[in-house]
Amino acid sequence: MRVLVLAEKKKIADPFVSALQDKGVKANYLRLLKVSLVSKHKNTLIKAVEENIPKYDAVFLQARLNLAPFIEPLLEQLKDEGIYVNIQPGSFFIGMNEPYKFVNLAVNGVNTPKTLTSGSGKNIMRLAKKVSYPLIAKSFSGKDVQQSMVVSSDSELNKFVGSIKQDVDGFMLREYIDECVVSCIVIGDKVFAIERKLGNVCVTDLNKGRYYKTSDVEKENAIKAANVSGYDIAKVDLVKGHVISVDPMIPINAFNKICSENLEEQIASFYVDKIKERGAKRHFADDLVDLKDSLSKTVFGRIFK
Amino acid sequence: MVEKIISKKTQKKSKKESGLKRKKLIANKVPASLLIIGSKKVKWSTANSLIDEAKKFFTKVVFVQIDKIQIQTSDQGAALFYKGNNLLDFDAIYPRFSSNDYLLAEPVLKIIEQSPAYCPLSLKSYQISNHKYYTAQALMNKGIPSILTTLFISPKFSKLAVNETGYPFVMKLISGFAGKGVVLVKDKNQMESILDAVHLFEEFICTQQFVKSRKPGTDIRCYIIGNYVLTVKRTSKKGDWRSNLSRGGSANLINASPELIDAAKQSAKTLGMDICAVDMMDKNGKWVVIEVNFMPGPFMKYLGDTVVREWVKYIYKKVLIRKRREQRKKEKLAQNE
Repeated sequence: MRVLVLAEKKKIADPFVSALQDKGVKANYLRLLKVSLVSKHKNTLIKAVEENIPKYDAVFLQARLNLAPFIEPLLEQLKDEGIYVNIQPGSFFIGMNEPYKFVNLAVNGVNTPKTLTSGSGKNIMRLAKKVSYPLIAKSFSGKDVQQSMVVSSDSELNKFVGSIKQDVDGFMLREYIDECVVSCIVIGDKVFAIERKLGNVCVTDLNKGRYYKTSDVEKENAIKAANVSGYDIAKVDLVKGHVISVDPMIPINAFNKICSENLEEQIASFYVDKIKERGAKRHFADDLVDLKDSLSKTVFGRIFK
Repeated sequence: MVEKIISKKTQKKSKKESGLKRKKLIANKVPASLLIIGSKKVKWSTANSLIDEAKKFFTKVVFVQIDKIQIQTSDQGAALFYKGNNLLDFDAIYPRFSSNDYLLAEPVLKIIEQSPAYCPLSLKSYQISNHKYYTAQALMNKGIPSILTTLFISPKFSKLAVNETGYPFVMKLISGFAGKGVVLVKDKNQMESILDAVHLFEEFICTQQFVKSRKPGTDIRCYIIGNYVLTVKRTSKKGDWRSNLSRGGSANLINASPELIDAAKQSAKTLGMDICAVDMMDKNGKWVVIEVNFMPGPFMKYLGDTVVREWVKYIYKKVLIRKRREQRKKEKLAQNE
């Protein structure tokens, strides 16, 4: 079994590589920046410095959503080559565009707070009448959030509209649910959760949160949110059972500390099961190279030399 | 390679024939509704022509710019509204979005896909056709001839990509529109200075082999309208290596070879588009696809309303087929009961 951990930085990949190696998997790290795609002569090649990606059974990908324009064709190609990835093609496009993310969740029957989006600033006051205060108002420039704030009245919303710069592509008004956020890590059908609450106060810092046992409904909603967004492994944020965010990046340290878990080990086990279910690839030449590498570290290394 | 400009006499004759069929269609008009969703930077001459032509076939025609739409999501699902009216209550929806509409185009297309209305374009086709590299990858993986294209993130590792294309090559910013983000890179020095600038803006870089056309400054645009293909030869204005009419030039209807038409049709099918335009060029005597357009301009200056008329006629025919199918289903159900 071979798994490639593809990430932007080595320190993100290292814990996963070690956990996979502990399970007897041949795991390597590759810096995402070293990968390029080449389409020629009626096919596509995934090129990487010092690495042959197609020999792997699976890829574990950790990348920021704004890399979508590169990740999407890469995911499509990995899928075409029969390599399992924790992320499905199309999911980075979903994650990168917030209005699209909420539409995708809603049409797939996931509980989300009521959300209204429009491209015209003239509509914003009319839109506000369809949601009750307090609400979260956001403006977008391209796909990036330009401004975001909680507004509790018409006058605050007017202030928000007044503060918006002219080159805005859209606005979003979302029902604000005044409860603490529950952050979940979904790994296949397992869910690990932290409630962002310290004493009786809600906190934004995940590290200050506390262990939380999700109800069956919350668990089901978190898994469904991850799956319809195209992820087998993801971080899902819930407020009162409503999904407000889905992200492929896993903040393992906070969860390991607060939930007394070893998420890298959980992910490694998930990968081993997934590869067994799909059947590992056999590459005789690559197996020989691996054998040579392991023997070279022993007394037989001299014979090979 | 057949590439013959269609004479005005032949054009008139075929126009007359299709005009008769069109009149027959209009005369037997069935109640049907069409929603056209335009880009936020709409070209009003095209929009007005579309609306006028659509009114001849459809009993109800509504045109809305994408930025005027309200997208609503809740536990009950997702919906589109304009001035309080539900926009999914139409027989057909024709979206005309550019890459500038990304933020709203993706959610709008996702909602349209869930509705029963006929739409000639899919969400995936919008995502792929607005991404130069993704288009080349999708086409080449299906065996459709295109131009050697690479995609990379880090300028540091751009050598890998340049080894494939060689100099000169065309560098594109992947969300570039109407050829504005395109540079012809002639040598290593020029490339290094460009890559420095590109890195500052954190752009993704797509490089494409520079192919010298047999007739520089000319290419072919195939308007795909279902199974029907209208082929146009475009010539750029003098001195520009891009034959993009938004930058000047001329266009003529031509008779194209079956191979060219087949490649164009296959490209549209691969991307899931019933209506689009496929741009092609002659590479060493063979046709290769350069680009697939989600929102092609109808070249009204050169072709009049020919293209617009065919778009509307095709959508109307699709609606008719669906309506007849539904009618038959209903009749069968009634018979069974």
